[in-house]
Amino acid sequence: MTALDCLLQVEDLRVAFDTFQGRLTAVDGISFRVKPGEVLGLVGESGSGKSVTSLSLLRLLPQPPGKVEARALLFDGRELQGLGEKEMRRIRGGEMAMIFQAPAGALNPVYTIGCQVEEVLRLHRGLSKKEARTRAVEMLRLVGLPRPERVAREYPHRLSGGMLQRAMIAMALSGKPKLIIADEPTTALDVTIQAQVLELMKEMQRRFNTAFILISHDLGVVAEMADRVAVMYAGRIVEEAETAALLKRPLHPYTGGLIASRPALAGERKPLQPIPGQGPDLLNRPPGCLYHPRCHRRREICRQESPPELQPEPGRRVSCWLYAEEQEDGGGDR
Amino acid sequence: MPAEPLIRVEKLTKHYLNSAGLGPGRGERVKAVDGVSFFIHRGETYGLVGESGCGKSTLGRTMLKLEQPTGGRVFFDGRDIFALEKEALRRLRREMQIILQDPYSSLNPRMTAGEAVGEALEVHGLARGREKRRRTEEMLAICGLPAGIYHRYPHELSAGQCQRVVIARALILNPSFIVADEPIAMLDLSVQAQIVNLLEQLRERFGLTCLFISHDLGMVRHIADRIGVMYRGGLVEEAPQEELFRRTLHPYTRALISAVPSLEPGKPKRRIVLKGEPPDPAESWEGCSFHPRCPLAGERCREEKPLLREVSPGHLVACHLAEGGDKP
Repeated sequence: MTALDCLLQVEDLRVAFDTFQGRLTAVDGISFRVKPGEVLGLVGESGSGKSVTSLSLLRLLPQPPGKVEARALLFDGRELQGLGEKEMRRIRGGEMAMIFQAPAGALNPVYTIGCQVEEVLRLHRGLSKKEARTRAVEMLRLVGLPRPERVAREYPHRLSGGMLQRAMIAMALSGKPKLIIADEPTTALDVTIQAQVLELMKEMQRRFNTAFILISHDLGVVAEMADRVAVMYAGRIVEEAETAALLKRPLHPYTGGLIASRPALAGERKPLQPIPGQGPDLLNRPPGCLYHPRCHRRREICRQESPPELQPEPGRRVSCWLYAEEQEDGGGDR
Repeated sequence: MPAEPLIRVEKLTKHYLNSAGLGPGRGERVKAVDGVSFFIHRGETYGLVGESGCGKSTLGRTMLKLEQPTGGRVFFDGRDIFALEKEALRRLRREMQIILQDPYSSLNPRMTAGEAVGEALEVHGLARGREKRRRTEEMLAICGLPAGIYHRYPHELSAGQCQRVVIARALILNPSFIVADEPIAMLDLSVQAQIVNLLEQLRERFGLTCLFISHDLGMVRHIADRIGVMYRGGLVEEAPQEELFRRTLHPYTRALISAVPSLEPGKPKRRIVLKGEPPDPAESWEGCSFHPRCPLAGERCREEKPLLREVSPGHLVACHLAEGGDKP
């Protein structure tokens, strides 16, 4: 992939927080790219650094205590680091929008839904107040809200979680973004509503060819929508592959563990295979591979040295010693 | 199967009076649980699924008389729980324990894990001093916790460890019936399977009868022998686990199953996306509770409330359109 057909290029992003207990590394040198119109899924458990990644892309992380560094943060050919706050504000909510997990907390409770959608349209699209009002109602209709004229006049507390998430999507789309970062967009919703919101996002993605970074702890949700999936563990991307390939044959033991710990909805009931232990303590990161204390295939080297990033197949990368040996002696015990 | 199930719930009803705020809806009756009947055999795990607001948690709590019931009866081993005197009920509580969703708020932040678990023994006058300590440590170990945990406070533990402490506290009284209300909903994916496996082990070891309440259809399918699907305060379908997934009869159950994101790669899904939202429990309705969102609803569904009826042995459904074994 050349830099040209790449909408977002993140190289060696590192995010740390200085705490009273010492330095906490939340994101530990991750790199990824998103093509225009592509959906990249970012999967990980709590503490894996997926939300911190999205917040630092939009520069929404307070610094200090946060500290964000990267070799490159290229969005649409522009380096985001070093941009002034005024320029950043133009990008944020405009070319790059965000959908948050808890829509009730992400919307302003003292403004009507319509007013908040209009704000985006006026700031980022330069519409007049009157134009914005008509357009806001159209946007609310577009995302499938019933009686959009009425919804526009309502305050957030009057709407259900699913309706608020639709309103958030309307807001995000209003700025005609090239990239939408959706951080756990359906986690707070019931399954039938989750299905509605996922369908809506898919439809909007196809219609406007918007690129998405879809962040979720739920591999199933990501599998529904993403073209490619990156799996994060303890601030690192441990595996990245096209969605179908990843689900069919996960390479990293952590990815395999995530899949095996979910019960299936069809077929015979099998015992669940949980990943033992807990997520790593980010203040006291273990030496070697960060996953080794929980890994059932660990070897001696995993305890000592951090695994290199390998490309066992085209379009696929994995950070695991299992595949390093395979590449060297062309086989191994797989 | 023994003739008398351990738990028998008859037409259980719990209505709340909406007294919040001054806006519309004040003074209305919220029918959280509306005439639910079912039973759980000894040693059986009954899974209760539904979306938020369907009344599944209220049902679990009211069954144990943690909420004052509006109507109906619950029999535990043939005894009417709601008719018991206060002291008799307190003694019976040993037999019935509950595990809640949020392990942190279920534990007293000022009590160590050992104190929290051991307290139950003391309260019920079962053990004190060294004996209490020994039994507590034993139960913590059975629940997969390391020995050092006894003197730890909840804030020092991970969510998974906290939930294990809560489970140990529930089991130390040697109950025969456990209500587990969304016990894994707050945990990380990799930890969820650990806790479910632990519950399964303990169920075998102590011969527990369980009510497993969850919105997670996959987990319920995994753990339950029979499953009840709840919508708007009532059961809409009930069947043995395998039967429910193989011959789904209620349109709501079918939509619920199809809505779960699947990990099957490359398998295009025929998803039934329901219109509208889960209903506001305070709203009253006529006819079938599901008709406003049902893709198949007809005239009769709008007018007449369907009753839960048995269409094949052990398979109950409340739908006008579901015939014997045919798909509606």
